[in-house]
Amino acid sequence: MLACSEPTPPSRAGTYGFEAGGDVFHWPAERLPVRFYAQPTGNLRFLVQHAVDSWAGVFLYGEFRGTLVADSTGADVIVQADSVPDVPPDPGAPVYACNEVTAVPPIDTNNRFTEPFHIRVAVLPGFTPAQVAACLRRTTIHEAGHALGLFQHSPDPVDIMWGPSGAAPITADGPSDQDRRTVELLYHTPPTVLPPP
Amino acid sequence: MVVGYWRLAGITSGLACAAGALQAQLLVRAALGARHTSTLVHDSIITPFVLRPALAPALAVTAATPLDERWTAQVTLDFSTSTLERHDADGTTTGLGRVSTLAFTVGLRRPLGAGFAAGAGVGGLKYLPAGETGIFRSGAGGVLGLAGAVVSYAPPRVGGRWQLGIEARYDVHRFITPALRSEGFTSARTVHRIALALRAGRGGAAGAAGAAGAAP
Repeated sequence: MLACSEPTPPSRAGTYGFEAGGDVFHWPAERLPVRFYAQPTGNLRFLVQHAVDSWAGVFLYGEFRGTLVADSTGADVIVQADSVPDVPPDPGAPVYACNEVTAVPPIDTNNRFTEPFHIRVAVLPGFTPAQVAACLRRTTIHEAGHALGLFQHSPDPVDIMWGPSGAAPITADGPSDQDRRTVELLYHTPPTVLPPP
Repeated sequence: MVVGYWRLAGITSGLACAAGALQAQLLVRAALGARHTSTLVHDSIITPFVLRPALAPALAVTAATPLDERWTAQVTLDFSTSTLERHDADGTTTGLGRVSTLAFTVGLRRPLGAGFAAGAGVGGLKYLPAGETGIFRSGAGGVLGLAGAVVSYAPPRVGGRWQLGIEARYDVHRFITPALRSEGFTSARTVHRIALALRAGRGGAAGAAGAAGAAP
């Protein structure tokens, strides 16, 4: 029943970069849960909740938790969109039917972000609502990853944090093993930037 | 008809006598105390850290019946609950939610004299996390094998019919969860638990108490 030796911690080799210009950021334990506000447009709240759950679910040791708040005042991450179709996502091959961008806030002289992160969602024309929904589902997880502190893109297309160039869609449905290892490493790395007040 | 009636009456009275004898032999004890659990997970990401439950209230209920003048057979149901905590190298402690355990053991006990007794048993233990998150995100991993021992002391003539005493319980099991396996842990970790408790018991009758050495 008893072994002679205890298990050794697993190797976590295989990560991609997460810092931006030498700056490392992650939400500190005392700021959890991170407060996400989703503009009440279509099913944007569901997409953001899904993204938060996707990231929280990869952590083993409670390093990150997020919650949706009803008021943008005091939110840590604000997600906005002009329109979001409230339909089931298309199960077919991913297409580049949406575009999102995360605005990382400025840093003050105390190495502290001055305002919340802003994520902007845009729907591209010429696609079915289901194709747009599928694109938004993946891309919202990707952008939430930036708001968690993953400031770089992965070079591997199987990762949710893959950074496609041009009009190529993200193809991963959620964080991969390499995404998980990278975000774990990030959340155990001492940050150089403080969260917004 | 009359013969049938007397036969039925005889069977009924015989069953009643057997039940009375069993009741007289059965001793039920409850023990309430505190439990310390050793490290469940030791990991290192940049710096080392460990996970273990906080000091937990523990309740054990034991049913025992004497086998002969020295040995008593017993079954024990043991429950404890506390917060799972992460202890980092810098001294910070982070709560990760409630986790409870339920253990079932069968074993033997015998008196050692002077009010002391010792026992040992084997059984199973199930972790009951409050939510499927973190190391329990893919479940708790089923029932884990458990082996344990107990040492008790019951001062004579204290507590009257309630047979008051104290006991120390120790058990050991191997811990791993499906999420830890997915993370890359290839083997389970040996987990030790020790509980100190006050206990009270009823039943066993005077004869049974004598057979079990005052039922310590």
